[in-house]
Amino acid sequence: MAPLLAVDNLVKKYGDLTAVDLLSFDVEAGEAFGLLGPNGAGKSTAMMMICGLLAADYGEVRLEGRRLDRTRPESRQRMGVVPQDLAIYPDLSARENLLFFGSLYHLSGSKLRRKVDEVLEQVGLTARADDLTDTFSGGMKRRLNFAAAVMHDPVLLILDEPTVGVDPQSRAHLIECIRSLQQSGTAIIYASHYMEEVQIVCTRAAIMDHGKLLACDTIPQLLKQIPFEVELRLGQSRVPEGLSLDTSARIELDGDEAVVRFSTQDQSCELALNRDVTNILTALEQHSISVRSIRTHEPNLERLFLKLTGHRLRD
Amino acid sequence: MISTDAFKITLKDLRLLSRDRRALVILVAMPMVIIAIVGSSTGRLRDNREQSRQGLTIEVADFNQSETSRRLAGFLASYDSVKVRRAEISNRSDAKVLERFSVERPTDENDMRLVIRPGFESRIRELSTTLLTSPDESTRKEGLANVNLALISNETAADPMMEGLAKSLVKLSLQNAILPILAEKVPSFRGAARDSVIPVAWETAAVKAGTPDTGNRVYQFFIPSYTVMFVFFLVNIMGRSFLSERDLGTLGRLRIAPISSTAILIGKTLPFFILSLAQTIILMISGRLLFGMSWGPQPWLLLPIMFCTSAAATALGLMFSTLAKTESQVSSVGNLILLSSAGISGCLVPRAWMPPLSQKISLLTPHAWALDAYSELLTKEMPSIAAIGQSCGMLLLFSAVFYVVGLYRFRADG
Repeated sequence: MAPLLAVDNLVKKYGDLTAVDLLSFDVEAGEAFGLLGPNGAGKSTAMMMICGLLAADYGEVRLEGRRLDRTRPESRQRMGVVPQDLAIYPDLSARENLLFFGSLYHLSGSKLRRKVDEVLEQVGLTARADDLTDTFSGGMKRRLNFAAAVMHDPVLLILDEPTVGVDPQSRAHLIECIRSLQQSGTAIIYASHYMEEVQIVCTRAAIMDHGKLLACDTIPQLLKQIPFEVELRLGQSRVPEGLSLDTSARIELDGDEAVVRFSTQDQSCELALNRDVTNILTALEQHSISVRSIRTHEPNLERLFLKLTGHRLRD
Repeated sequence: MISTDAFKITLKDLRLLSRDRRALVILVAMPMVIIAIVGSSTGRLRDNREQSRQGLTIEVADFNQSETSRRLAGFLASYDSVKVRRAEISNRSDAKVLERFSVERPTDENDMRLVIRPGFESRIRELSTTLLTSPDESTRKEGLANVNLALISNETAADPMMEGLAKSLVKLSLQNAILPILAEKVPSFRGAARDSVIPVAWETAAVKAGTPDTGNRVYQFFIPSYTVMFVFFLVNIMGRSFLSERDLGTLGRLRIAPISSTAILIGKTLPFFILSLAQTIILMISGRLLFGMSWGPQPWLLLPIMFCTSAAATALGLMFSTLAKTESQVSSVGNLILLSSAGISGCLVPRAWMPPLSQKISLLTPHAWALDAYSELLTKEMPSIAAIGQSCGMLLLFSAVFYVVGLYRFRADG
């Protein structure tokens, strides 16, 4: 069976710069797919090509098995887009904005009005529905920006950095809305450089940098590439010569302080981790060495990105 | 489907425009104010509309009471745009009365006063045949005073154009008035003198019955000119609207909606077309009610002119909107286009005053064709429908070219 969305070898060039280089991935119905990468990685360009706002130099996009054609506007009916920048009319009220955008997707009459009320409730703007959006806070505008994209119950919702510049409360509200939408069967493409959000919202993700796809898999599979690390700081610079630790552990000097580091690739084996920690602590105690602090480094997408590209995600 | 989608965008933009007070002020209030200011500077506001409707009003103070002086006033009254009033003179032999009429300016109802001094006819008889056959020569050196005439203008009407016009009309009338005297000296003029009959008794010709309502002639020029100029101010407002839609990101949202780019363009253009028509209608109605302007003998012909002018203005606005990239481009380039095209086309200075080459160049602007159509309708007793049709056709041609370029640019950008 064909995936809901199939992106096949998309290429976009601006002169000598290749903004998107042979990008391919699929999104299944009801799936939340993350597109992770730093600013300038090519995420927004890819999103614009998928939603038909930008012509691809090469490659194609298929939605529900049908090729998306920029010259056929009706092919965009089943897709919703939350653009990176706000795209609402400040001189219209929240209700007027939604009535207008809903009507563009051929909703009308009582069905349109009901849907507006429902979406306003969903994003928590019912109380301010008839106020001009110019008077809204940044977070409220973001929520309305989101609401305008889901008026027509799209089968695929594309979100391009939907939480940029949003206060924590609105961010939590938005993420809750997105999760709720995904649970009701809408497929999501979530492009962000906030890896925590991608990890919370998405089940599968692709990592992009310089227009290229570096990795694409389920989040747990992606995280398996990164070891779980434990770091014990000893509070002294010297360690006795006879100290023997587990073979995978190593003792390093970090400034004036000795540090014991060890890692495990298999996160599921908690027993092995417990055993290693216990053994090392016992060995240190036998040599009367006290531990000043213990720190763990869990696998995450940020560390995966660092491993794949050699630089941090927000560089 | 395109029309339905376009209509949705049009309704949205009309709602936004109704909340944009700056646009409404620029499009409606500003032209009204400018027309009123320019109009009032000519002394032809509504209060003296009746006087203005008659064109030039000349009060004749006849201290000579001769056949020639009566003929002079009579021929003067025979001009279409001249109304002659007889001054009430208490005592013609009183020098003080003559002095007062010669020095004091005429009252507001009269633009000019022609004083025919007591020695007028005898002075004419004294002139040589050469001077009589060329009255222009006889008045060149010392002016009308050489033949015992004086022309005094009203304070509010004291502009060189009006004085020049009045002086020319007096000289032309004088040529006819002196024909009997000339015939006495030169027999070959007898036939001309016999045929030279005053068209109507000037004392009763104050109001010419049956003369079509040609309206207040000043506003017949000002109102269409400023209306056309300000209709094209839409170019700026449309540019701002498109730019704002682009900056707000809503143009992108429109483009990713399941509607065609043609529907977007029509939807974005139609509100301004409606606004432009409303603007023109308001200015024309105001022109009639406030300034006594005439809509011409066939007012229904205003409709195709308004329609085609608005179509050309909105299509130009559309093209400009797809070419302008920044707010400063809209302001600077937009104003440059508007003011220069208004100047070239004859919105600011009548085309008739321009050199022939400039008149030809002006036809490269849609404004000039619109002005031609308005001029044909509003200033002629029998406007030519063919001439108006030609102007409207040219305006539609401009509209089509502008629209096609705009559509091409819009699609190329997307």
